[in-house]
Amino acid sequence: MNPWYSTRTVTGEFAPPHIEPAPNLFLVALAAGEPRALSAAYHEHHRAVRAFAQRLLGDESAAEDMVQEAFLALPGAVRRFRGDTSLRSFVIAVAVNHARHFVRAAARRRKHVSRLALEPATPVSLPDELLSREQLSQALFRALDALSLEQRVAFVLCVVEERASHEAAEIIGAPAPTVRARVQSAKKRLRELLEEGGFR
Amino acid sequence: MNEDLLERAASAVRERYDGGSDRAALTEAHVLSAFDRKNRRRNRLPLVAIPLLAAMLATVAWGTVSGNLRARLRAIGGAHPTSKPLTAKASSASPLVSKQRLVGPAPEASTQQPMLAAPSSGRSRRTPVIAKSGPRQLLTASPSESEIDALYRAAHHEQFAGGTPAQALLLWDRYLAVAPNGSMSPEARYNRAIALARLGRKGEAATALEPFARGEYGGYRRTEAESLIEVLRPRPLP
Repeated sequence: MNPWYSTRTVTGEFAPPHIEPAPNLFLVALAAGEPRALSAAYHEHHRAVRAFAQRLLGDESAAEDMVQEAFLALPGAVRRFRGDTSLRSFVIAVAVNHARHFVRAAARRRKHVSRLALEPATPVSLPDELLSREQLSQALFRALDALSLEQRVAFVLCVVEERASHEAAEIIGAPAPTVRARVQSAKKRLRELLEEGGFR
Repeated sequence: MNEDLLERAASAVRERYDGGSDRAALTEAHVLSAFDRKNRRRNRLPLVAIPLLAAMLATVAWGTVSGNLRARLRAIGGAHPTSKPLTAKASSASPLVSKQRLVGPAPEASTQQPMLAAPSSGRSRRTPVIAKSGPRQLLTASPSESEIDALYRAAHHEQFAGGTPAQALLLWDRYLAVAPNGSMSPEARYNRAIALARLGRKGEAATALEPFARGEYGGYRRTEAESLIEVLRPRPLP
């Protein structure tokens, strides 16, 4: 049977069949767990993944663990990669899928530290402007801990990382309108929390 | 105003965390070594699993061919209603003897008294439930395996646990009538011959023992049968 006649569109026209693209050898090697491919992927994308993890968690140690987890899971996950998005977005999506545990751990640690006051709230030697920004950033993380994971991820991707909603939607795996709605509700709640914390 | 505040906070976070870390190289090393370990474990699995599987298959095959598998499965199953006579007989003997029978190639009753001695006092005096109900009730038109087992137990009990040889002979005959080629029929035939000898029917007893002395049942009770025949049929002096 001629493959060109194997598919017919809704309007009755014959359409060319879907042809699978040639497999990317790098992805094949990555899926096979080839160490050089994994190392190359790490060098290419670790900074972006770490930045996202740090901005999501506000804890560098937990972020490092999350990066490690994401790259360990990458060879298994990359078999699902169809090339619809960039590999970088895909790796961040893998990190998002592993985020729940790390977000909880970071929030728990932050709560614990603030309760015991083991660390000074702000480095006192900073100039006023920087001091204010540091305080603001810490206040934002405390407020982010009060959000759901979905709202938190959407806010970090769209507001902190300034990604377009469709790109964030691809990473999250949800429709763009849903992501926008999550961002709006996250903003509203964060504003309230920051105001409650004395920030104007 | 509030929007600016949120923007400023987001901007502060963005600038503070840019993805840089002095632990980046260490994390990479951790990732690669962890993945290497994972791969090695995955590659080692067939090296362990295949020989293990082969050993298991060989054991099962050997057990099937030698017949030991069936006996062991019965032993594991315990006193299942559909269990074969081997288990049934074992249940009437002492635990030690039962174990020996289950693992040994010849399912003979080592509890039996081969000579014309009195019944052993070391044997269990527990009377089988069916034996109490009377031997006449032991046979039905088409007895099930459990009924045949019970019949064997009753005969065994009658012969070795305080019953009469006449009653034992009757029960052995009944057992052999319903299970002439059963797995316990050699034991039943030998015990029947002993019962005949106890009743003084020496000629019949010797005739019943001849197949054992000829080795028709292998080495099973061969020596004892030869000795008994010597006693039962004394050779005429030259």
